[in-house]
Amino acid sequence: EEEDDEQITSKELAAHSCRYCGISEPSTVVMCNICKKWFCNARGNTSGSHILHHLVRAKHREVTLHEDGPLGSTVLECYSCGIRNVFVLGFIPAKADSVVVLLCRQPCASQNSLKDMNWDQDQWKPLISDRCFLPWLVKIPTEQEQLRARQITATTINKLEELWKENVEASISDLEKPGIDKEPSQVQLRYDDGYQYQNIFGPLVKLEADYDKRLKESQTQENIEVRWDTGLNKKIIAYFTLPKIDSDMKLMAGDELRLRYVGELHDSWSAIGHVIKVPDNYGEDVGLEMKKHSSNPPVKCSSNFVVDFIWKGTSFDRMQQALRKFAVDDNSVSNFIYSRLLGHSSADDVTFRISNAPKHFSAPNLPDLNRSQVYAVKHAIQRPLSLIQGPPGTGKTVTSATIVYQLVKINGGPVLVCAPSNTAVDQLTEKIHRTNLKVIRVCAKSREAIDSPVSFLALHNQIRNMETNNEYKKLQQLKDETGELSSGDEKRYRILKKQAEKELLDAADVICCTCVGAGDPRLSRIKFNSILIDESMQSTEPEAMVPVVLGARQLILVGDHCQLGPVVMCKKAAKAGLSQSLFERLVVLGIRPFRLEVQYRMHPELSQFPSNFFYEGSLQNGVCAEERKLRIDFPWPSPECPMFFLVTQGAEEIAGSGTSYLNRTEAANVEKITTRFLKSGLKPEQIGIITPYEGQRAYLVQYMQYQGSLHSKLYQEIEIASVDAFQGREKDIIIMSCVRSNEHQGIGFLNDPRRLNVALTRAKYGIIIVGNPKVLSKQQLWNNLLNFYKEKKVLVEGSLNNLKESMIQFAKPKKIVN
Amino acid sequence: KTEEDLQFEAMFDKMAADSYQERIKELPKVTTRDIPVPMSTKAIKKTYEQLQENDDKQETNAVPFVLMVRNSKSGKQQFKNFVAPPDSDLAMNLKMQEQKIREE
Ligand SMILES: [Zn+2]
Ligand SMILES: [Zn+2]
Ligand SMILES: [Zn+2]
Repeated sequence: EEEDDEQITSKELAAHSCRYCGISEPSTVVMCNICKKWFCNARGNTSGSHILHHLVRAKHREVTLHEDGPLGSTVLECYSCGIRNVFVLGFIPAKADSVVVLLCRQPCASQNSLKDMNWDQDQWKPLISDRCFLPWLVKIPTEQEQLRARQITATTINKLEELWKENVEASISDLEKPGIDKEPSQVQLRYDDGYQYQNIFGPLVKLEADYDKRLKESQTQENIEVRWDTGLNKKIIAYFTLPKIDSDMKLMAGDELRLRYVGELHDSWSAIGHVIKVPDNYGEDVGLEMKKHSSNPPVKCSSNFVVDFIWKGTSFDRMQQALRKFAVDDNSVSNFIYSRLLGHSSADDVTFRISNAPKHFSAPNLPDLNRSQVYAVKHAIQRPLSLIQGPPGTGKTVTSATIVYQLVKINGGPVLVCAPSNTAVDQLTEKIHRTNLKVIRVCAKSREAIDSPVSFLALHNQIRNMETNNEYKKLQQLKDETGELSSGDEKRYRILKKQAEKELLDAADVICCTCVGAGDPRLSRIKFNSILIDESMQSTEPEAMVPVVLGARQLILVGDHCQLGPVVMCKKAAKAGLSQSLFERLVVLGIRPFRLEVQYRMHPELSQFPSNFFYEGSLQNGVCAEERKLRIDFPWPSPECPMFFLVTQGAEEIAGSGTSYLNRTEAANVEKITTRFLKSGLKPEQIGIITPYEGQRAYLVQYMQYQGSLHSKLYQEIEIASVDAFQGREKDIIIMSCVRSNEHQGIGFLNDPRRLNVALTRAKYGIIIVGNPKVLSKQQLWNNLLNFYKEKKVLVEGSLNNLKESMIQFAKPKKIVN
Repeated sequence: KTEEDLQFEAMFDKMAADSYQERIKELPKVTTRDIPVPMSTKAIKKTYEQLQENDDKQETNAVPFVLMVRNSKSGKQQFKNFVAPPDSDLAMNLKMQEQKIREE
């Protein structure tokens, strides 16, 4: 017996031994086709066999039997269609013969012609039973073999699989190495100094960066069919659909993808392009504009392409640089801001003495401010650090623009204005531009080609319009026409471009860019005394630090910690606190945000619930019901109260991509409501449809265009998006489809109160929620909302022409941990 | 059961459901072909080793079967012998079928 033990530990294990437990009997092991690792069909003390643990954890689905096993080397695949996904494979015996054939469940095993051919179709059985392969296919190791093997728990299996994502050759012994399993340090409320701050946030940024990298690099998609086109700028565009994209992946215009040809009709080819179209109402296809110099793409070929996602670490690098600068560079921020950000100084109020204090706190060409807005402006321009909280529709952008205008008037420029997203930056840039200040929008190079309402303010466009710069203009023209310059001309072009950029930036009153955009080397030599960050609750702390360390003496954070926070994809980093914004932490530290209190967006009935539940009842209405009354024929259950909850009890399904959900009954109701609005004269752009799940978005787009009774073009122009995509924006009418209707799994995305707040506060004239109260009412906040609708007599069921108050019973709310 | 076990079971169910859903979505692309049951499989010869092996180990009740596969390179039919445990669905089903035929 002792000898046997020794054999397992010291002898080189056979190449085909189970990577978990070491069992190597050929009839009991199979190889994963994707990663070429071997696993056995023993389950040990876990609830599935080792090979299935691997397939499930690694999301692999294909296997090959060992050549020395009873069936010899066999790739498991459908006899008829060749699919190799073992999760849909099964077998059918012949009716009166001992012959068996492997067939997939759909469509091959269910085709009608089988019946006539002596196959016993009803006897189809899956190859996997009780989470093991059928023993006649892959033997189960004997009890003795299992006892001798390494005992491995599901926990260890999980850890090992995680480790393989970083290092494919890792083994169990690597798990015991120190540091592999260490949880990152939690963020704190206060920090001793900048070093400690960096030491805590640095690793979290690294975790998020690593996660992002792994996610992108694992999204390679094969068997892509490409349709070629040429854009107006003569660049070549490839159109294709990505069938299996992970729902965590948000593909955005400007992202880079690599397209490769792997077929045999053309030499192997690969090139990088920028995404210019993402899946939307007009189609699920992605448009990729190939870079100018990419050499003759195989435009004659349409299949056998592969798409890789290209990971870029720039934004993470900039955050790390900012953290380092904050720690080591005394000039990165003023002493006051340094200690406030670390949570040191007590709440004593410091104000600047302003010699030329303005008499009117407004700005040219912007609306006059209300009282709370004036206070916010006054407050912000006099203090080194201020938080301004702007609940939905309270004129946050106008207030921010006015603050910026006043700061320039008082101190001169340049003021740095940032926000986490390009859309938010563009909105604010436009408002500031109206005040006649000299504004420059700095874009990332990869986004220069993307059109926006403020494109003309972008640095790269302003250079083209400079009057003094004739030589540069000529070179630019030549470059545009021929695609490239001689190396001498290119050199000269770059020097002139740099000079022009510097000239423009030096003369600017205001420079606008995203938070990570503030790490652009072109801005590094400029010193900004005043920095304003809008939508600051949506940036992580390290992200906000990128602009802050450019010399902040005066910092204004505008945001609303009752709306959605930053998106952090790595669970570990989020759990450690990376998903808490700087705005939020400063609020917790006791810095009182200055709240804007009058909302100008929602019908008063629509603002009541959000005001009560998210803003302590403090929201006042700057619009009256009369101004928010739609003069259309629509069957509101209570005409004075333009909202209702349509009780819909359809089942949810897992969407085609496998990582999202859809609900057909809700989609049908959303279509009916939408059609009714359109028939009553509403324009498509007045309607917004919110759904938290990508699966439902894609389904709704399809369903409305094909099943809707009106022209499909009308439905195409209606924006259908996630709650997150609607943050910061408004629509006249909002229709919301909740999707989740599952008794057991909770309500996922809808569990975050901040997301509910955002969803409920997008509509100006009316809101309709389609969902299942039985499930939603389990969550406390939704329970409150449902009761609110019930009291208003707008919780209804039935058809649109005959809506009746619903008497459905709510569930008792319980705390659901997401 | 540990948390990871439960997690694994949930992931397994999801993987199976997703795979099936994906198939339904892809359906139109797949063209199925007829699969005739091979004639006289009983005549398919076993190799010497297989016979040897069967003599040595096989419990008397184990039921011999033939798995029909397509060679992944040539696309040709291949037949592979295997034995199913007597208590497996496969063996039980065959036994029942044979009984039926005998009764007729
Ligand atoms: Zn694998
Ligand atoms: Zn094993
Ligand atoms: Zn098939």
